[in-house]
Amino acid sequence: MSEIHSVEETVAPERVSKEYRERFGKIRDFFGGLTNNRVLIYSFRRILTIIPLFIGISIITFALMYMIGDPLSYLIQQNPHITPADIDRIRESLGLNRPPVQQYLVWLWGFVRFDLGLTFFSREPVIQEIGNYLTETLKLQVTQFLISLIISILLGVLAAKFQNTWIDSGVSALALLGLSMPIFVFGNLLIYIFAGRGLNWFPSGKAHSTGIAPINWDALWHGNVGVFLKTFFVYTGDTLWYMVLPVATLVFASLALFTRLVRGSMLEILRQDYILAARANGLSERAVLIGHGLRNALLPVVTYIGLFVGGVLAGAPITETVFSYPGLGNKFVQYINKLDHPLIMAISMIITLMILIANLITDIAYVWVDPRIEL
Amino acid sequence: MATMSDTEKVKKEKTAAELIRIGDQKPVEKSPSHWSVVWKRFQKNKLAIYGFFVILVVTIIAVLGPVISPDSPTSLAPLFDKYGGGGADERPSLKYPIGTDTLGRDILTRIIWGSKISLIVGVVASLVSTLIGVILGALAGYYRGLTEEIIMRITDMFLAVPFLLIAIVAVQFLRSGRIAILQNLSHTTIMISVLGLFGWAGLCRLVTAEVKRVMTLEYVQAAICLGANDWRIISKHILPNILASIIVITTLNIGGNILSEAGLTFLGFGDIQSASWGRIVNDGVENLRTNPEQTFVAGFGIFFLVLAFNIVGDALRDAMDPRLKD
Repeated sequence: MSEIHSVEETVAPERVSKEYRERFGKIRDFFGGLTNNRVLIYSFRRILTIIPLFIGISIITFALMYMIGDPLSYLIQQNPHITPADIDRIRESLGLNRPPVQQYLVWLWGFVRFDLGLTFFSREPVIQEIGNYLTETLKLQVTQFLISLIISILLGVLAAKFQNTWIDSGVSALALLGLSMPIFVFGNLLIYIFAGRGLNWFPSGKAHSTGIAPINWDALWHGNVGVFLKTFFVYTGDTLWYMVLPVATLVFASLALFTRLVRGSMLEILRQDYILAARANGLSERAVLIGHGLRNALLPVVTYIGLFVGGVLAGAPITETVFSYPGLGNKFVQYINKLDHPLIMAISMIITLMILIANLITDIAYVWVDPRIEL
Repeated sequence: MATMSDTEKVKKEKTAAELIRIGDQKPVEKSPSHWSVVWKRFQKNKLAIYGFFVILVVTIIAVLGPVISPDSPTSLAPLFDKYGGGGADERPSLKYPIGTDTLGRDILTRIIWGSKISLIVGVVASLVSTLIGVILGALAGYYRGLTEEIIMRITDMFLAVPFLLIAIVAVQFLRSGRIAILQNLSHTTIMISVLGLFGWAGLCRLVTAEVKRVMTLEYVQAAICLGANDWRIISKHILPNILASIIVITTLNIGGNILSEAGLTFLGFGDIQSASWGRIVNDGVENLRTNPEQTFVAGFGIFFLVLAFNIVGDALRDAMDPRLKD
């Protein structure tokens, strides 16, 4: 890193007076940098590549979903007295009488305008139907992501530092177990031990206790701050309580991948010459490991993590089903049997979009953090 | 170690005159082949031998399944076998070592028959995705240009697909039988095609990069200069040199595919009648409190099988490509 700084210093000569530079230097640098900012240009180009990917995946999903069957068959099965005229009328009102290509284009045009359409069964806006589930899923995933990232960096660095000792073998074994454990078996094991009639420490279903609201509007209206805060904290505590087991399951699963990555990357870095140089300069072991080792080791980790976000997000259905957690994945499993096209498309495409954006962010972060990368 | 000390002893005993003569003789022993070296390195890894053993046992159970437990996995006979310890949701007994499930089927029989599904789906789906990945990757890495651009964009797409969600939709589509050719597919075939068709992207990327790396080496250049055709260069000069990574990734994929199959069947997709391990866990979860063995025996079966494949994959990686080992 120090090498790069010195290059920048030599490139930017003192062309203007010191006073001018103190007053406007930063602003000028910022706007001047925009025109030849490699990161910005790269980001723009990279954002453009998302569009065909998104369209491709949506076409595949739509085609497969369309060919599963007739969404009305479920309705017909439930109402035996329905007449063919009624069926035609419903088909027309749902837009199912159009050719499939046209249906897809209508859906795509809606998605572009942030309009996900109405659900087939309740005829309510899809956003309203899945909005809550989306926040629940994100809550779980973000928490587990942060926790497993922190733990895996700790474990990975430890394993690399004490390579070929019992610490290293222990961490590797833990990673191997996490990689091989089916999520649903581990989740059920946790439920069996810690919930219900086991130790009964944690709840094992849903996301909240019934009858608890996050915000007490009455108290807020009357200016009763104490009651308002109390409700809020009770709600937050309750939510966290319900999140413990699902998050533990997810952390166990993704910990394995992250730890392996951090360890491998750390070992690679620790073999470099500049680590030897840092040691030779008499830096403390901690400074070498964290300042020189970890800082560089995290670079490759960042890129891979973007790819894993996809696997983790798509794995949500299993965890959420095990804990009957009201999230996107759980609902997806339910809607697929009802063939509610707008809902299925909305959920799978929102998750696709999140994966694509996660990949995009990691790619850009990679280029931004490491100036050595060619574009 | 024994072989090392032996050779050392032989060296010491030889006189100078003998040593001079050795130069003229042809070597008596062949130098060890690449595969025997790999096998020796693999054998040194005790854990890998354990993993290999587990896979072997499960394979034997899967092959001999109909012999070991001749009853059908869907047979309801144990339900009426009150004196033998049968019935619905019965705890383990001598005749039914893991008990019976809600419908009164013997769980051990179901697990034995289910091992076949897990193994076949895991192995064959990996082979399918390896085939696709290697072909596309070799094409992209060898021909570069527009071919590479197109293949890489498709790969990007498959890498960004939310795997489980698309797999669920695909399984439902294949099971619906709306297209005449795709009717009456068995559970195993459906799982293999879905997992195989959606799991090749990572390998394809790796193969492309490896092919590009090998292409810059001198012997490939020499082959091109000698006028070898594209097929010969790819199959004789390039692929054998990247075989190690391909084999390692394929082995590691097997574990992932077994997990995916179990996950999909656990969620209730695929054939409900099949005795897949994921299905057994799904059936057992309802009685988690009263009959935990219904869930956990099959569940830990999946775990140990996947663990074995992962251990063997790691050991193969260490044995075949020592550079990859830390």
